[in-house]
Amino acid sequence: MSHITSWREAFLNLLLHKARSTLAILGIVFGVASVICMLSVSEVARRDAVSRIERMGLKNIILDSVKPSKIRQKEENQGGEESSGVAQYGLTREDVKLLAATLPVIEKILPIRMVWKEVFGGLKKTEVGVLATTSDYPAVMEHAVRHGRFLAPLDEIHAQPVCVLGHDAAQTLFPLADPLDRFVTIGGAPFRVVGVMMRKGQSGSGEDFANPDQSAFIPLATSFARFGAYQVRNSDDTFEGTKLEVNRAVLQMADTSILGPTAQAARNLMEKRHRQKDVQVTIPFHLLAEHQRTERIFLWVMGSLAAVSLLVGGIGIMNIMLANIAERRSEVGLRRALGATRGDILRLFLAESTLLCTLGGLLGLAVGVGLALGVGNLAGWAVAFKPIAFPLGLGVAVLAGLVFGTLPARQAARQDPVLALRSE
Amino acid sequence: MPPSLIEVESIRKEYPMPGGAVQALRSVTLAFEAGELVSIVGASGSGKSTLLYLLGLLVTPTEGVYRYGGREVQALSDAERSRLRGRQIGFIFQSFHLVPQLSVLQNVLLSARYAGNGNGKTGGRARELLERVGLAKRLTHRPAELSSGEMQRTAIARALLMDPQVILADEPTGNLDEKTGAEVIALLEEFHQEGKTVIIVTHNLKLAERTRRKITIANGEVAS
Ligand SMILES: Nc1ncnc2c1ncn2[C@@H]1O[C@H](COP(=O)(O)OP(=O)(O)O)[C@@H](O)[C@H]1O
Ligand SMILES: [Mg+2]
Repeated sequence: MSHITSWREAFLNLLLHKARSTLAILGIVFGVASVICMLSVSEVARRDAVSRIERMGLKNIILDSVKPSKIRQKEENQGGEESSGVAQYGLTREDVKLLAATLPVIEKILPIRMVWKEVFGGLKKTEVGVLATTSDYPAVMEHAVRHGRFLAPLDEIHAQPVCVLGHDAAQTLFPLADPLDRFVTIGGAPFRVVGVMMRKGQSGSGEDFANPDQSAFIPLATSFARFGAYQVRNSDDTFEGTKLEVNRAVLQMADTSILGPTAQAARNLMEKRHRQKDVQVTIPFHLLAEHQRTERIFLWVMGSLAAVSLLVGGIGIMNIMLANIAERRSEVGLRRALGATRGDILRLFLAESTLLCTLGGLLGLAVGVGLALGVGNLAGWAVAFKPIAFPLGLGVAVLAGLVFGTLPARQAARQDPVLALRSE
Repeated sequence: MPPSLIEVESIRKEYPMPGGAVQALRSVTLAFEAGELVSIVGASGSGKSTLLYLLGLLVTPTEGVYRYGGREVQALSDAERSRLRGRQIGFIFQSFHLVPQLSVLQNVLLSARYAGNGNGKTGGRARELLERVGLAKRLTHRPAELSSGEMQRTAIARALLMDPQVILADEPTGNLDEKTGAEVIALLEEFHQEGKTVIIVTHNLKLAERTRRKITIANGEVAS
């Protein structure tokens, strides 16, 4: 019973000093709000990073063709118009064959080529891109067909003029009709649509590779048969000629245990075959581990920041409680005269500071959620919250109330009641 | 002979101070019977308040024996002393010590907060007492809305709420004019008539003459 009385009394006392109580908890409110907000932002960043990494496939090793620095430098020195020389770099079809032959631990190897050809739906030019690849694409990239079929091995063997449309590409090219067995014009040649993909959803993040939803997939062999190994890209007043056979090769493993050695073997093989450093090997699984490490550091930094802001909030509480106690000195003396023990006085003020911080914490949760939603709205994120953030934020606030309330409360409990009751 | 309600024997109280201890009480031996009305007089700083708060268990003696109802209490724990104080003793102060944010009724009820009342009858008793001291119509008023005489009468009701055996008043008329002071003293005499032990510290010699027993303190000792 005496506990209920303590809390009730504490609550009433806080109500008696509304303005002061409100000011006192501002620090706690913003401390907790920043904890919630920061944890939310970090959660959004984490989910984004993890899904981006996972989309690359955790059982995969990714070999990317990169423009070697020598070529890039030459281009910069010569400047715009004269950069008409043909640059040759990157993975070749031969590399892909050799990798498959020398690394038997690889389950599948998937070459992907970005084809710089325009796609027309009827007479209208579209933003749809072209990816040349093989029949393993759906399995390796975990991207299923929704309608029709994907490119078949026979399409590759016979270099068939067929294509499969990404979800958004299908919508762009055939907003009303069923695209199956219709034709689209790629680089001036007609391609028959044999399938439409499910939506993959790359959520707008600046991808380093073409968005599969906005692409048309054609057989790799067809891309060479129709458009050749050399490609020319016209953009406004510059044009760029490149011999780049394969932009990306995705090696899929049976499991994650031999990713490291296999990647090293692939790297060695590529170094032997390519004088210039034009192939980059990435292991998404390792990126994930690396990401988790940075995330831990990030959380520590966030945690320290939150601790500092709660410390500031706690000191604010302590300050207010000290003022409160100084003002209510004679009340403390009176309560002692009425039979309050030192413990009663301690509990009286601890209940007040703890209640104050709990209210501050609850308010902070609300403000934090609001802030995160607001920021997410402005930045166009899907806001996410770490569930642990809520008990954590509230718990720390309550703890701050206890810790920073103890010193003032003890001071009040220890003061000499006679001195407090003397009439001045 | 049965023991007195309160007995103090060779009580010494010193306050340790930076410049050397202050001897507030040197060697005080006194006894108070249940139902007595006593005044304590003496010069300012002579130790009257210290003696009163010592009797009220708010001050622990440096040396000496204190028996309340035949039981030695000087060595009790803070909790035990507080419980005894809450149930047996009612204080009245010169400056009233009402909590400004609480109403008259709430101020009176504060007495029950630490005295462990389990019976829930205090609400009715508080109203009764406030009626007796003439404040029946002021229950919801704040102390700031009262005259000083009314404030002291509220404090008297508060002191009596738990039906204590002893009323200790430290210069209860010190902040009152003569007429309201006399009213307050009359009230205290009334409660004395009903059996309370009332001990009043006062500067007012005229008032002191009205009590049957008068104790004079000088320089921390009983002078007469
Ligand atoms: N809590 C205290 N700390 C230090 N000195 C005190 C304290 N209370 C009283 N004194 C000193 O003890 C002496 C007696 O004080 P007090 O009992 O208040 O006298 P009175 O009530 O007769 O004026 C004074 O010298 C006073 O300064
Ligand atoms: Mg005094």
